Amino acid sequence: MPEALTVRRLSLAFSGLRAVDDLSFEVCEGSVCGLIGPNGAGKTTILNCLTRIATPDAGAVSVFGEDLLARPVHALAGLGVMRTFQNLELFSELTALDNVAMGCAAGHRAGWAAELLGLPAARRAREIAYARAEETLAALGLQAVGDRVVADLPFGTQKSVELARALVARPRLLMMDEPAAGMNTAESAALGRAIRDLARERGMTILLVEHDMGLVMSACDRIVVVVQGRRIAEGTPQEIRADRQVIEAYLGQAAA
Amino acid sequence: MTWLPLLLSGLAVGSIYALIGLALVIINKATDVVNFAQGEIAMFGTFVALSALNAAGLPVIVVLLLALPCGFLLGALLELVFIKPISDGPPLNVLIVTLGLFFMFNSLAGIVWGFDPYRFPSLFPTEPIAVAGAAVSPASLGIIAVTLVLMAALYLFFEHSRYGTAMRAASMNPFAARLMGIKVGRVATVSWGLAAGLSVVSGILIAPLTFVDQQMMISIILKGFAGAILGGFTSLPAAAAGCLLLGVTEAYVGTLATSTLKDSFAFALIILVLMLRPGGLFVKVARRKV
Repeated sequence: MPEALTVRRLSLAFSGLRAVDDLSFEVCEGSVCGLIGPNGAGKTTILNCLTRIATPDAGAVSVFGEDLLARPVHALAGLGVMRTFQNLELFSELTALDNVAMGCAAGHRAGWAAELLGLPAARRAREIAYARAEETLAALGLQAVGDRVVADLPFGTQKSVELARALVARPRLLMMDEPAAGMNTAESAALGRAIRDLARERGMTILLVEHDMGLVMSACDRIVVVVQGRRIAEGTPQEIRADRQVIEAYLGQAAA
Repeated sequence: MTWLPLLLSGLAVGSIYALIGLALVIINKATDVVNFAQGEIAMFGTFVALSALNAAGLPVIVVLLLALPCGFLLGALLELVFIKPISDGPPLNVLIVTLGLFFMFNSLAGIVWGFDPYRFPSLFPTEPIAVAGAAVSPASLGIIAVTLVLMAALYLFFEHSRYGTAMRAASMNPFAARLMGIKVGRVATVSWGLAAGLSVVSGILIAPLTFVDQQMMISIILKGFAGAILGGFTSLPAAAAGCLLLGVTEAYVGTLATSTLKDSFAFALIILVLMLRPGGLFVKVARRKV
């Protein structure tokens, strides 16, 4: 299968501290790749580099063959790249439906002049976007909260709204930063099944940063283990489970 | 029925404040600064409109209709030339540039049109109309009507168009907005355009009642700013309501006391209100959940 995401020798230092250190890995199209490591390993920084929020000091990133680092942030959605955040980055005073509809801001657009003047083309584009937003909310069981302001919703529901906002544009590459944080075992198992379905049925490529090992082991095709910004292991869940270095550096530490 | 003409003239003055106040809030939402040059942009636009009236002999109503789109272009251009290049720096830098724009437009108007006041032709009939036994000025009604139409259009734009919603989204979380594919830089340009369009309209609306000169907007931008803070600087409807309230209060105070007292009264009232309600009269201050 072709590679959806290729990371080559990525490095980023914050005032001498190497947050990402000569990191390389690939993710095949339609697969689920887990990115794991102890706290402070640099996982979120890696996602930030891959979404143009942080600019790496060195290295190359390509997404579906396109040079990602040559693109501005607002062009990522057009490439089919979306992500969710550990601490939520919603439009807090908009309704859930408005938030999700903003997820298709990049597609179904009538040109900014038409949008500004409220031309019929803009109104049609808006209707399509909102119809898809409603569909996506309903698919996640959120139809009841569509017209609620997201700041008033419980944290878990906000997380789902953020996921809906990432999914509504049908991205080709979805990056998720700790989606299972705060979930119980049953919820995280359901999330794992949902992630597998997105990859298997929609061909979506997923990069998953997660601490919930049950979820990572059951949902991922491959796992990349990062410690202090460096890749220490890569392989299938079975291989990672058996890797001595991983057990020492990460699982051992977590168990202690 | 002496209260009716007074109420209407208060609402008319408040409408002028509101257009400037809305312009200030729109730019503040997009770029986190107060544009001190807002009034001078209005003054400059009004001078340009007056020159167009005299040179091309356009009907006054055409000039009024052109004010919004031409003001939009002026504002968008100013943002692209003066603000965008420094927008990555701290907001204070942008604030200083808006002060610079204030003096630039103020001096430019002096150089081009001199320092003497000009008359601006009336936009509305000047004969008072009798409403319920009171003489009402058509100019007041006209100003209120134009402002209400603009406010309704702004409401529809921000609440019911996708670009308007995207602008609000970009103001709440520019970071996430970019990831959704929204060009946050362009939102700032459009905000400056909208704000300048509204201000030029306010200048042209007030011009026939005062005079057109270099200082015409100085007290109006202060009042627009004050009115917007009185209502709540973070919300467009609250800011507009604050400006209207300020206009009406001033009108009544003006009849009870001397007009010199009017200005200080407005600011005393605002200080008092903000001590009791820091977010403004119509905005609840959200307490951060810990």
